[in-house]
Amino acid sequence: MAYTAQAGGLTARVVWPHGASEPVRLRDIGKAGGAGAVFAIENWPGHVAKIYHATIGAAQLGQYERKLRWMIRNRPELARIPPEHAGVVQLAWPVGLIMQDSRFAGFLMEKVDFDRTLELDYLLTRRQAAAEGFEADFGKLVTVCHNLAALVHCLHLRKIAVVDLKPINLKVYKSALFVSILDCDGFQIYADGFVSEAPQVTPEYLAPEFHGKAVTDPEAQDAFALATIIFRLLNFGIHPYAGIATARTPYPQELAGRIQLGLYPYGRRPSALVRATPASVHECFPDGIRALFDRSFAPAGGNRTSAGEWAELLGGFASRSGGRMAHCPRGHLQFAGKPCPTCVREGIIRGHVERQKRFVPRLKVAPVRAAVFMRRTLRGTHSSPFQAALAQAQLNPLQMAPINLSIRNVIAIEIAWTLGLIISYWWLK
Amino acid sequence: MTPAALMAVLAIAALVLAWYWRPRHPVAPGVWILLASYGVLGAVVLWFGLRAQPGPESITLQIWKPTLLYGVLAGVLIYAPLRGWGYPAKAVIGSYFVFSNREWHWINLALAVFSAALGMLNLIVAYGYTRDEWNGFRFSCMMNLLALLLLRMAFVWMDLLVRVGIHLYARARTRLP
Repeated sequence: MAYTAQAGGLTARVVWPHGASEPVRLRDIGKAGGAGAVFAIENWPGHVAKIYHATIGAAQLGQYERKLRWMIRNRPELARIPPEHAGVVQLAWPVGLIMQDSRFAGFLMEKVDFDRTLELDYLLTRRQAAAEGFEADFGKLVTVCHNLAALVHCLHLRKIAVVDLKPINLKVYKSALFVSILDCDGFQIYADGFVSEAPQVTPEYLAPEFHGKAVTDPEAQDAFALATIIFRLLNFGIHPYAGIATARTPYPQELAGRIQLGLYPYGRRPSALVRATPASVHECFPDGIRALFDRSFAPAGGNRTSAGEWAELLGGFASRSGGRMAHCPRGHLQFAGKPCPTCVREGIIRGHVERQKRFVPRLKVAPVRAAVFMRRTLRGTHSSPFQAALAQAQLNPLQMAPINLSIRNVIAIEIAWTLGLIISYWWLK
Repeated sequence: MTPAALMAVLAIAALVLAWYWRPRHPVAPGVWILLASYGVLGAVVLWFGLRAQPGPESITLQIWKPTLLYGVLAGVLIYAPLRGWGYPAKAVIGSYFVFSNREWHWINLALAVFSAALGMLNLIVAYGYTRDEWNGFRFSCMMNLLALLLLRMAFVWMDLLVRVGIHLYARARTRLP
């Protein structure tokens, strides 16, 4: 069972946990993912419905139904939201089933208000965050990290793991700083009496022990992904495995390969194989936070920092009364007793710009620099912050999403596009 | 069979294949409007190819053709977002590129303004300058299509070719004894 798009919307029934049901009218809002599409519900502005695609097989749909019935009965207890932040939805958790012609078609969930939120991905680049109306500072970022860790910890207490935890699946409330997790039906459940797998993973956030294998310890996976997200949030988007090779040993181009090899260069004990990106401000983090990062990215991985530990530690920094954050002379928020990360970062970038300005001396040494550049390119040992930033693809304005469509679907789109181009050519010639 | 008829048959066959293999997820109404507009523009092309009298096109038609195309494109690009029907620029440039909705809004608007400006500029150059200068302008406009094609080839078709190659290689391997 699944939906077929209709101009006037769909008619379906919502089945509530206690068995009662009522008719609803669904309106297509043009948001679709790999498994289903999201519909608005007439006269229910606080909820949306996810209806699974027609291509989902009956067996898969049956698994979704069993999982959703369990999730509806076992909603996790989250920390109370203060009244001034009413309407914050931290989990797009299923609250009822959607049936069409008495058959399961999808589920009803609380609506995450996209006008009040922005993708957590945007916080990794200050410029992008500012463009979305969010002026990021370290106080806000630590609070976001704390709220995310607390949310993941609440899920783990109910034996639920996100597994595919990554910035693009997370929304941040711009003023309240709470985090919302989308796609809850993709979570892994490992409770007593009910188990449901979550096959979806993202290599850049996948713990080293699960590359090429199924995720057998979902909490450990979440702990790794959570630490990666926190590291990136606090370090201007730099991935914990983005670094510069210092040895002649092979250095994988892909982050996934570096994760597998444990090439983490930001530890308190420097790595012999790789060194930190010069633009990194990890030296400005408090020792407690660095210790948790070291445990999270240790090659062994057995003692990875849990979400609860992150929540506990970051809670102290997120609290205004804790006194663990201070203002630097230029007014930036920083970790008390450490150098200001914002000033350090600005200094690195300013230094880079100044170097760029010295054009004539650079021109004189151009041949030698060209030879050095070629050698470093071949060895993958570039040291300039600009090159390192490029290597992270954060500054790349033209990013490609992974093409999830089948080959036939892509060919169909390209045929239509090419015919359009030919028609345009005739009209222009 | 005339070359025009052969082209028409090939185009229809390609369209049937595209329809058969189309993605089944819902498409924004703005994209449908763009497709419908191009359907009409394509029908005109077919009509001229199959039915029009032999001989050169009238000069008025030649002058107005680019302006009509740009006008239709600008109209669709402006109208669809106003009705909340999504951004047709996604279909022109490719939704594979990662932009936020805010960025798509500006890309869509920029493309609409660009199309409208080119449509008007075409008439200004056609009626205000010499025929050679107008021909030069027309050919420079075609460079836009070439740029779009190159963008598509570099970012989508290369990836598609690699995927098809991997798929064929995997199939061939499974058939090996």
